[in-house]
Amino acid sequence: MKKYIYMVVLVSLVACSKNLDQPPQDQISNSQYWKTAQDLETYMYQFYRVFPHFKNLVNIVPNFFIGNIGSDAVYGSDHQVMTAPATQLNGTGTATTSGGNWNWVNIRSVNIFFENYQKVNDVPGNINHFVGEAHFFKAWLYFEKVRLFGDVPWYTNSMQIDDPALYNPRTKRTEVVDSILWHLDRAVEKLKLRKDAAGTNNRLNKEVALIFKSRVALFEGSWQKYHAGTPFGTAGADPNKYFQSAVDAVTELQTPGKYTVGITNNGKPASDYNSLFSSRDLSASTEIALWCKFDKSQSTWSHNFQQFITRQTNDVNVTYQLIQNYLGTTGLPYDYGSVALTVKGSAFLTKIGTDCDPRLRQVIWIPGQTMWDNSAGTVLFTKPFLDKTGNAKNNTGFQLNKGVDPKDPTAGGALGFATACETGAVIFRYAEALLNYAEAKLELGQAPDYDKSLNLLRSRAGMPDFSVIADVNRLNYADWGYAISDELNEVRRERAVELACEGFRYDDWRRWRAHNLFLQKRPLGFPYLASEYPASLVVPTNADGFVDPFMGIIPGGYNFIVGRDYLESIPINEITLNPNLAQNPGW
Amino acid sequence: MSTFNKLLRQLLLILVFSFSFYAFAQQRISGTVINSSNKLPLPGATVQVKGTHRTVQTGIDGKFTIDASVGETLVITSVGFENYEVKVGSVSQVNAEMVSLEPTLGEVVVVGYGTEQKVNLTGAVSVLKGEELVNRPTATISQAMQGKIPGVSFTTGPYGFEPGAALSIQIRGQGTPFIVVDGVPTISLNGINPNDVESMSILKDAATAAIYGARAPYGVVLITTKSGAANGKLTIEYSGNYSVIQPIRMPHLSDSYTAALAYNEAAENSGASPAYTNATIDRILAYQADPSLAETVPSLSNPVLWANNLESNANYDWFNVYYGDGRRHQHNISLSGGNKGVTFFLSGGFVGDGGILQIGKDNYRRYNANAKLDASLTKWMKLVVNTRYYNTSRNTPTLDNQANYEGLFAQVARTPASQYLKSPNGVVSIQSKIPFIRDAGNDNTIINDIVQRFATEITPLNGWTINADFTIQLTHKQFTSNNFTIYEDNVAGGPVLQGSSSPSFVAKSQDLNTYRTLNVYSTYKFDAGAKHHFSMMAGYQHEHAEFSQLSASRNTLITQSVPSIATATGTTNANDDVNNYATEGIFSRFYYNYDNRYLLELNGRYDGTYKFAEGKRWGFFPSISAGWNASNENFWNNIKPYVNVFKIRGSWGSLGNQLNAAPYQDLALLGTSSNLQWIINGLRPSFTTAPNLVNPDVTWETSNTINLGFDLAFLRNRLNITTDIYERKTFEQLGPAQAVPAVIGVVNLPQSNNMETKTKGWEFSFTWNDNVGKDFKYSVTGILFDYTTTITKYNNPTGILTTSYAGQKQGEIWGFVSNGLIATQAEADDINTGFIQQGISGHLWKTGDVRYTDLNKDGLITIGANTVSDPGDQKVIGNTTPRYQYGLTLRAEWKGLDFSMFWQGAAKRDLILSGNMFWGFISGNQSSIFPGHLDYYRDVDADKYKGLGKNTESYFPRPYLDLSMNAKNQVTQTRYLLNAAYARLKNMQLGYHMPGLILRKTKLQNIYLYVSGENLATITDMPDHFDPETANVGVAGNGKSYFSQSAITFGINLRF
Repeated sequence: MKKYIYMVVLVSLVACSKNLDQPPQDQISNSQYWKTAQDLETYMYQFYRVFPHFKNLVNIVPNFFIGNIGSDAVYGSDHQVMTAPATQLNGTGTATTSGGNWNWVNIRSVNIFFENYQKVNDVPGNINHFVGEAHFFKAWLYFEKVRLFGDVPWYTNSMQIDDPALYNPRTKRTEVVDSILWHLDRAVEKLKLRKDAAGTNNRLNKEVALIFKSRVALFEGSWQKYHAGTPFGTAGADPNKYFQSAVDAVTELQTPGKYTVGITNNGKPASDYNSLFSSRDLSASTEIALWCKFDKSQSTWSHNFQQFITRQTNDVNVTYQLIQNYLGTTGLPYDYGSVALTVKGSAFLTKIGTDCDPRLRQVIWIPGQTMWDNSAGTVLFTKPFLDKTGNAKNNTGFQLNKGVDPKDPTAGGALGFATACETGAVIFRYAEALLNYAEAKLELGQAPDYDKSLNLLRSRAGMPDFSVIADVNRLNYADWGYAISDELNEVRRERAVELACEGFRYDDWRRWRAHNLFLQKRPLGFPYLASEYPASLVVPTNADGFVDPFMGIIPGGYNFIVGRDYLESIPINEITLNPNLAQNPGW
Repeated sequence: MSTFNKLLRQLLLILVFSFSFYAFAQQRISGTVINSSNKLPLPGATVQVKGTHRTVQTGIDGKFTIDASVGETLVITSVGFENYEVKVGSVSQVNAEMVSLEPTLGEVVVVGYGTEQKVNLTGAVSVLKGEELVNRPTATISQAMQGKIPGVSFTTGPYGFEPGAALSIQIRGQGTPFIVVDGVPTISLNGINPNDVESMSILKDAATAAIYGARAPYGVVLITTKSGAANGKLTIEYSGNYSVIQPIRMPHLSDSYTAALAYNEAAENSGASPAYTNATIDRILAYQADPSLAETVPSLSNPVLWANNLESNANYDWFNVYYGDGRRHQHNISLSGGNKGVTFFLSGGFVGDGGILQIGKDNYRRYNANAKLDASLTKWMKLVVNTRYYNTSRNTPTLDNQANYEGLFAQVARTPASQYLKSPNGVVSIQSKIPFIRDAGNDNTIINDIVQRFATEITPLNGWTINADFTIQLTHKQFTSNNFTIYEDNVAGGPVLQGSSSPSFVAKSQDLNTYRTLNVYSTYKFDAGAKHHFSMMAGYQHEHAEFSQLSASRNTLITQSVPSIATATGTTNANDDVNNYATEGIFSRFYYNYDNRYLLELNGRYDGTYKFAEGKRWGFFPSISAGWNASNENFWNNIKPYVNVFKIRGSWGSLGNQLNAAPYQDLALLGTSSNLQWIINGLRPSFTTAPNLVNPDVTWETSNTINLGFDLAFLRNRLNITTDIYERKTFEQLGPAQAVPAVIGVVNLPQSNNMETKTKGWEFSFTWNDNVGKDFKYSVTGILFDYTTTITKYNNPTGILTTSYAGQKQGEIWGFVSNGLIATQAEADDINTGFIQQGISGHLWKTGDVRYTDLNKDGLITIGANTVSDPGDQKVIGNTTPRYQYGLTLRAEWKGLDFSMFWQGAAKRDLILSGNMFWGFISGNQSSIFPGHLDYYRDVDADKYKGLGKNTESYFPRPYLDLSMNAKNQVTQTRYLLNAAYARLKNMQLGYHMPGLILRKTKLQNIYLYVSGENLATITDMPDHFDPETANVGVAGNGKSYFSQSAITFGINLRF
């Protein structure tokens, strides 16, 4: 019996022991955090990882080194293609099972900020900027969802595992978009001006929030307008409200003396445009509202861009459909088709490089241009890489050079397959705001002030002022599938040219419901000249002699499924888990 | 006392009898035969008068009587014991102590906090003797244990059989067992020298493991190291061996021309232009005809640089370039001895494994030292001081900081045969990966581990002992990664910097783990009368560990010949990692033995861990076991000559598990990271991320195991059989909280005690020991075991297949049922126009693509809702769990010669393999073309530059050079389900003990020479380039791990 008493005593002694109290020694608990403005700043840094650039193209092939400049080829656009037809354009997608873009980690993280930031005991002046960043990112993250999935459930708070809100249905689209715009207004209010922000244009600022607001509003206005009456139509649509919002945002940006915005124009039309995308330092450019800086010495924070637009192509190919948008240097439409009847191959490139908008030479390689001039030697471009293999292969003859810097030490693959390129990535630039403004204004039936908008872009490129013209060849490359005014058509043309290969095209054709641009059609390349290449090289060409890369793969053209492919599928698993969540049309 | 009295009485009787027969020439001799190791009577031994037919057998009490004359010789034999001879003299009493050759039921087995006679064990315990582990050329002890213990399976880590590879151990299909060396918990077996091991006990059921409670949910491996013998002599032993190792089942690349034709065919299938241009193919052909030609030419895209990969024209089998013969050697020396008061055992060991990599440094070496001193200070107090030390060093290539170690296997496998090795200037190419692996520096990990144990045993009264031990273990790990800049040449002969290797840098880390444990326990043994034996034990254990790591790295070395943080000029990054660990517990045992017939044991342990929140920390885990030695019953006497031993054991026990639980799940902790992927003000700042979700209720997992076992011996103990069946049910197992919608925004949900699993299994082992004539002895030992685990409860209300579900068998493979390859264009058209296989892929279906079976008859091939109730056209097509694992050891001895052979394998297993090693074609730069991959579908003729000619009855489908197109055919399906069953000749050994004649001329007591072969033969249906033991491991994908090796070993053991 004594033994048992002893046992009981021992048990109770052990159970009270403090030996087992071993709190974590290198982690911070939520209750110890949220004390100072610095805590807010440190927490907000994580969201800067959401911006797409050379090292971070969300949810597409990792290490896609051409970044935004090549992203249209992956997402699907009539202006850029890869070897295989894009899944989105060709209707070859299948419903995802799980994951994909249906990722909510960042939205929870930003909601946690809103739940906690008021615990910080500091004056508003010290915390406002970070709160503004949170508003901006909440808007950014939700806009990503709306772009790809349409209406989605709106969440204000982070949730625990048993929260019934996990099983919420979608929130009305108008409500989601209005909430995004509400957050952007708060962001504009609380963020610092570019000139005051710590980190200037590497840091979010009021200017960025206003440009982004014009993007969201224009997207939503056009989506509601052009998808009306289709399975993708919006209940309670009011396109003009959003067009007006886009116009307001840009008008605000143009308030004299208030914001640091402009169009970088050093009077060098042959290079001013390109230098926006080829520089290692963009902090001085008033046009660049936000950019991502690279610096190899900061733990190899660098990429591979220059190699992939010089020695290689990374399988990103510009199409004839984009090229035809470029006007002649006179400001009038250029008849590419007629020229191609007689001038072919490299000579064709040389000719259009001379005859057309100088921005053309700053988007595709023209024979005679220097590809690289560094430790790997000096090499000029002579002809497109149709005869090369793998990552160096070009499929259309229009070979991308937007952003090239021949003097860069990594151009031409001079450092091997090396992640050593420091070219900066443009995230937001003022030119987009001007294009958004002109388009939204026209959609409202109002006259844009071209001198304060598109003519600034024309002037930088050395082109005549914007004018409304009627292009007889328009249906060859801009067959929208519905009628629009010549003026709107020209604004869309200017957008295609100025923002060429910057990753806007995928959203543009979707918001314009412009599948007619490519449905049952095939993208084309340049007029091929067989004598320039080895006799054994087989290049598919159409009846007119244009390179026709998909001739054998999709003889009937793109097989876009109109009632389905405008939005991504909600993952099957998510619908199984939450039957309240309706699938998108067609999936 | 009573036994002694009885013995005395019988002796007297015998004496009286003896005298009465003394008058006759042939007298009656009587005696007792006992087992020398445990002093117990040895029944069933044969006593024969040499040269006559006079033979008797000993009884249960080991006694015999036989008639013999003075001068005749008695020969006493018993299987498993050395023969005993004695001349009949004037005394008619013979007491023979038989020396055991093999472990038998009579042996003493080490169990938790004590020892027991095997004959009186009630739980499921397997014993492995140290002798089984020595003389094997494996670098680590775990490799030598494989296939020797029923119910214990071994798997390689993600790097396969790398130098110094430690296998992970699973007892009965559970997690890593608790390893205890001389009473001290040890994290890994890797530092143990097999030559120091006296014996191992593997505690398999809950009843035997329960005494270790918290630490031992998956069973226990108890290792006892050697001690000196108190014989007043000094014994010196040396053993050493040297092995030549070679990779087995290693792939080979097809020659560059064949591969180019196949690449071009796959490229055409994908609608892409040829992967190899005609000009390159012409150069390949010219080079193959005349290998003195250049391996490459200036690159088309940049004529300043050399052409690589599919543009160069060499012809290398890169596997042959990288892998080949290797060397491994081991040396051990020990000194032991002592007298009555003090014994000692000192040993030192060395293992060096050079690996099979021919380029760069990829090796392992280990030094061991062990010192053990047992001192009897007084009659009532003993002291043991034991110091164990090891030092290991592992070198791997850093691979230009582009990849971790696994990158080695992935890079070699994806380098095409046409890649050039040396440029016309004679400089090695970067794309051969040789500079990456050879010149870009090495990662080196050095571990220094020292264990100091002080143990004492105090015996205040007869039958009462108090044991206390205190151990401190210091483990220091030093990691150094040197990352150097590498170059190749350009056409002009100038250097070309590999940009990713610049700047050079050095990274270092130092870890120190300090572990302390205290055990105090006391045992009281007493008898009540002659037949009732009792034993009680109670004790306390406490462990505490402190881990701290400091790591730093710095860019830009001033010179690569002195790589250090001090001699670098870039910014320094530093980090630390600090954590503590603590558990404690009290335990007790009650043991009752009635007349060696009825056995009963109760165990209990009350355990606490730091991992859980207060109030959830403590758990009580009891067990009960019982045994019946039926063969010790009187009624058994008639059967005894045939069935010498018959024992039934049964146990039930409950075990707690905290191993799967991450600590601090009750706290919301923010993540912290450095080097934001964005530059602000010129720097990449550190940042915090959202706190995790919490679950304050996380607590112990509990598993209950029922075990039923039989120990049998037949035919004069020549045949021994042990068999066990068991069922283990685990409750409150930690599983994912539940499948919740992704809108929760948390990828790693907190664990929750909400899952239940059930494992059922059985084990069988037998040993047959016999001799033919005097000189030829042989034995056969076999083990066979099997288990299956089923998830019986899982929080997955929708039955979604992306996570586990109730009713799921562990290892099951869900997949589609293939229905051959599409044979005709009409078939393909039907599939395309009807969108029949759109659910698999939206790409156009062609002849030679796989056709899938519409299991649910809805006209389409889909995954349905991807749930158990609506899996579309998927079903369970196989299971990756190895079934019916076995080991078979044959031994034979004749005079000084011995021979052994050891087979090991699994009789049933399915595997699905993926990646370029299995499929060959994946994408343009992730393909590996082996001869086995050429059996792919093609329905067009070949020409000089493309294709390999028609082959419509192929194994592989139509190949593409595009990931998404290959996805049509590379989904999990029955056609490409592999039978991974195998049988492997793990070891074969021939040895020779030098006869005494030669030994007498030297000071040596023993010389043993042997030659052995490891992994000499494998029988399997797997593709030739996959090893059944490593096929599905590899961090970089299937087959991408260090190859298995065969070894030919020469060894010698000496004893002075």
